[in-house]
Amino acid sequence: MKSLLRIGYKALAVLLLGYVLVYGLVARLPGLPGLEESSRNLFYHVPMWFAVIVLMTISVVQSVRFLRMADPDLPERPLGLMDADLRAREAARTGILFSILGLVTGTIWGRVAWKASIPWTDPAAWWTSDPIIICAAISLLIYLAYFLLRSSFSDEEQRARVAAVYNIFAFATLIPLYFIVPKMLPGLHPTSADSDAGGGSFIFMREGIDNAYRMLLYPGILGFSLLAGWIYELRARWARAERQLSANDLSETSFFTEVNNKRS
Amino acid sequence: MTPYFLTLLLQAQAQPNDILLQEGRMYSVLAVLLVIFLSLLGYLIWTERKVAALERRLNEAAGKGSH
Amino acid sequence: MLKETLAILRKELLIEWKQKYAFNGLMLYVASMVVVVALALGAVLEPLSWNVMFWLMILFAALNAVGKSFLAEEPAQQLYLYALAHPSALMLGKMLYNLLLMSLISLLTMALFVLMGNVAIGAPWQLLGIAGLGSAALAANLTLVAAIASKAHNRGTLLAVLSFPIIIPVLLLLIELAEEAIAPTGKGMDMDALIFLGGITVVLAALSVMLFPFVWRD
Repeated sequence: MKSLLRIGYKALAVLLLGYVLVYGLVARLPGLPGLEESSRNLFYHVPMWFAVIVLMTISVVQSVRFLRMADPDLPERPLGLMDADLRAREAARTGILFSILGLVTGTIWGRVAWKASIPWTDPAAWWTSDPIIICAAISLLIYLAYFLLRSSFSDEEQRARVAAVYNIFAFATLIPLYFIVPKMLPGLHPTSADSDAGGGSFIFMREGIDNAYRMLLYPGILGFSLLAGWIYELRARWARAERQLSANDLSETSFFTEVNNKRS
Repeated sequence: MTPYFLTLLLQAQAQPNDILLQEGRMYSVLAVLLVIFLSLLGYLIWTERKVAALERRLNEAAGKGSH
Repeated sequence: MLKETLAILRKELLIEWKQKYAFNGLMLYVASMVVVVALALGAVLEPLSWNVMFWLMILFAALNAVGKSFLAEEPAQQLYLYALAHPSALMLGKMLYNLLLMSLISLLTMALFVLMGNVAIGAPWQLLGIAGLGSAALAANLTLVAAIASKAHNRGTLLAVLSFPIIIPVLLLLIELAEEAIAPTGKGMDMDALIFLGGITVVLAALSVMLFPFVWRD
């Protein structure tokens, strides 16, 4: 059952993404004035940020798990303690990848779509000072800082502990960064406070999307989130196997006593 | 030789309105995206097999250790 | 817990009172920045640009002040403190001390601004309140990050890198709020932003107190 689920979600991701890629570009869509064919980017740009949120949530959950397991009052060191840290790290790393993809898909789109609305950036700008873009860039900085923090410790467990603390602390500012701050400032995104498309917050639009778009947007969100989950799962398993194998090579005995301890 | 996606990007840079606003160009964009997607898929499946092999090695080592 | 917190706060204040090291240094720092800005840009700066300058100065002053809260003590001193008090109480005490220090500094900086920058403030009491809220937000944001950075090898740069991204959204909203106080447009205060700032301050302070025991333990 478990292995079926493991393969199943990957197959579902491939199917959904195939549908969204092909149909999203080929389908006849009700045109939007000023956007025309570029409106198809909705199916790729928006799901990236959903995937980022999914991944960062996984990362913070794993960090909380780590801190709960690292409790010194526990009688023995729990199994998979460092695995939780590896998982938090890999989720954040995959999240950075998707943030960059989100920024890239956004910048390609913004250049075309906002050309008319920002006359001072003629011919067309790769970067505009829209609050949502700035918040997205800041969130990327937070996770780059997380990795800088990780790299400045040599002791494995201390690194894991301090990084988990920073991860949780940063996540508490990430949520308002995405969902509250952009709501308060005027901006160019259709989800900005002053947008005539109905507003919303960050990636959630209150209204203004045609049903033909929804038919592709929602599968896209699910598909890209599952793809992100797949990449994360692979990276986490790989990191775990590598870590244990290298421990194995370094000192056969210590690895085996650890294994024996878990069995007894 | 310039890679195809780079050509597309450079064209988009020169005339921002041309590439993403025109209907006829969607098929070129689709072709590029499909190539990227399929190679990503291949890479993921390759990694999946590699990780599975690593895990098998680990399990064997653990099995030996317990005896 | 409360007693311990107050004892820590008292100890921090006493040390500061005896040495006046952090306070004097910071005031000199802020005053020289105000003088430089006033001399170089005074004629062209509008009140709203002064506002941005003001918050940037407060930010750097806070980085200097709060960043020292865990760096000033010797490792042996820290160990002694940790043996005496509960780590959460220690965190809370340091945070309260930072709040007081930052409030005082922002108050004096504001006075310097009015004197040297010739800034006419539309709603002074409102601005004072915002400065107080800003001090609390900065203290809640930076104290835990300072503790984290003090554990690493490259402390100096790390503090700035870790704290900047989490402080920028708070700073953006503070600038928005202060603009309304300096040059009132009649719209009134943005209550959403106020509630958000208060909320995030409380959440971050609570998280700091909860997470700090994990940081100091070696």
